[in-house]
Amino acid sequence: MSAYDPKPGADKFCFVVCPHCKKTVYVKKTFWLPRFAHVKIWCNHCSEEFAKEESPEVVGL
Amino acid sequence: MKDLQTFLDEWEEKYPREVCRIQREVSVKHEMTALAARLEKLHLFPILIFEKPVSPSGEKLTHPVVTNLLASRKRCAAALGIPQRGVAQGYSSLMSKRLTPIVVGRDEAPVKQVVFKGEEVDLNKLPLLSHHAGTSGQRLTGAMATTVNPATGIDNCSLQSASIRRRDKLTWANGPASHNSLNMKAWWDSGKDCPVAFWIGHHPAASLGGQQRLGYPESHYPGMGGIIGEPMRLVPTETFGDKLLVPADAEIVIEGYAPRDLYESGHYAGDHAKTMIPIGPAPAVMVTCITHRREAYYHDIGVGHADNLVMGGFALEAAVYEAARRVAPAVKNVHLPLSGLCRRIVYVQVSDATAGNPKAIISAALPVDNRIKYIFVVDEDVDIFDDREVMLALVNRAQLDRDMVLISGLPDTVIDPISVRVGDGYVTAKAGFDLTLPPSPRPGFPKQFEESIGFPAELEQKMRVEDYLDGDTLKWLEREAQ
Repeated sequence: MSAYDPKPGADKFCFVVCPHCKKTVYVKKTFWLPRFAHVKIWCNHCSEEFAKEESPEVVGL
Repeated sequence: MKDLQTFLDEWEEKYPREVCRIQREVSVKHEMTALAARLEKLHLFPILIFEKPVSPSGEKLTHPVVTNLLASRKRCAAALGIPQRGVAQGYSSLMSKRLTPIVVGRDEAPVKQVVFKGEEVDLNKLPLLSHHAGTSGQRLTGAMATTVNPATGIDNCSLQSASIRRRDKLTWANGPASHNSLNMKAWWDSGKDCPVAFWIGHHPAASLGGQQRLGYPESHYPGMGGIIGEPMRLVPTETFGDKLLVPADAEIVIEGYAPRDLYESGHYAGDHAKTMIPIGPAPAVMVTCITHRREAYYHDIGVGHADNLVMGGFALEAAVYEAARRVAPAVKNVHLPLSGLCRRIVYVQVSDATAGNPKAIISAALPVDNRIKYIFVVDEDVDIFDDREVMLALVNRAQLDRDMVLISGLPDTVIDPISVRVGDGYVTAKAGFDLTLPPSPRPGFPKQFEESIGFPAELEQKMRVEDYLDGDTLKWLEREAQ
């Protein structure tokens, strides 16, 4: 890793916007591994579940 | 027979002020953990028993909550019968003892006094805590998750958290490196669901014994017995019979199974690094049965606080001590300080290290556990129970271009917020620091280094601040120091 690369914390998770409450949820990028493709994300703000594709915005993936 | 209740009784009798029974209603949502955290800031670590817990929606809950039980190094060491400055050696010696567990019938098992099965199961009736702001739900943190290897029948216990998804469903933080995860995969590979039991509340020595670093597959129960000083009494689970045994003297047991390949969204929750772990996929557990004592305590561990940190460091101190002693008998003691989360930073004290010893110790100790990140090797004159003394040695006794060992890409955990993900695993750079003094130029001479400031030993020994300052002033100063 070069000193010019971004700090590594950033590469483990990204932000998805909950389609129900529109708040930002911190999620691990492992959700995008093929074996977890079907796993829905449970919003920690409103407790609703949603598929990744339903999120209006994914940032930092 | 030792269990949580016998320990609480004994401790309360010996140190009544260290067991705080809180009679007012307190919410399981944030409030209990916030109180423990506030006390921790004041360097106070009493056992907290919340007699009247209420749910996040304000409903009164039956079981009193015990938390902060393991927050004090003094208390944890006393529970094991070892000195708090001699945990590395004491735990190491206890680890060599093995007592074969005994299996008792359900009528001899206090944990079977009340049994809920099927539709009667309701996790929401247990006072599971929601520890921190932003946490997405209530979480088991003081539970030993227990599974067996399907081929050998050998069990594994691990302190793993699980979060309520609904009245009979949990998501289970069963990390890929854990032996429980290997067992779960073995069940799944054979086409079957994985049986699991979470047992909650036992003598602190059982929790501390469950932290032993073992090979795979190797049962924790004999080692727990060695550490607790009597064979663990086990009882068959209601769901799986003698295929999965749990402690008869636990307070509460939750039984269930992890359906093959069923992952769900885990919880947003804190962990030992004092950061919130982003939500990730986690195995689901379908709960089939809950059993408990008639007057059961619910034991919670305050994740990210001393309650969680101190107890996790004991087994690691012993494991590092053993690994380091193998390469350098000069190793005298090992401490994993609270400032390094009792996991990430290791202080190793040596007496008269010979050339190359400190770096050999660093090489031997770094791989002991994925969570260890930095190792400081110091001489005997440095108090490894005082961070300031080790930091002073770092400032005064090291030229880092020659005294630091830096290794990139060593295994780490997801819990380290700065670790780097590689495939399914995590790596980080780790370092060791040789802070030992230069050797003496000739036998019989002191080490070739400037002397530390100090006072005559006789004066140090006889001086008591109470002889100089009155009690009120001293109390005021102590409060101010906090």
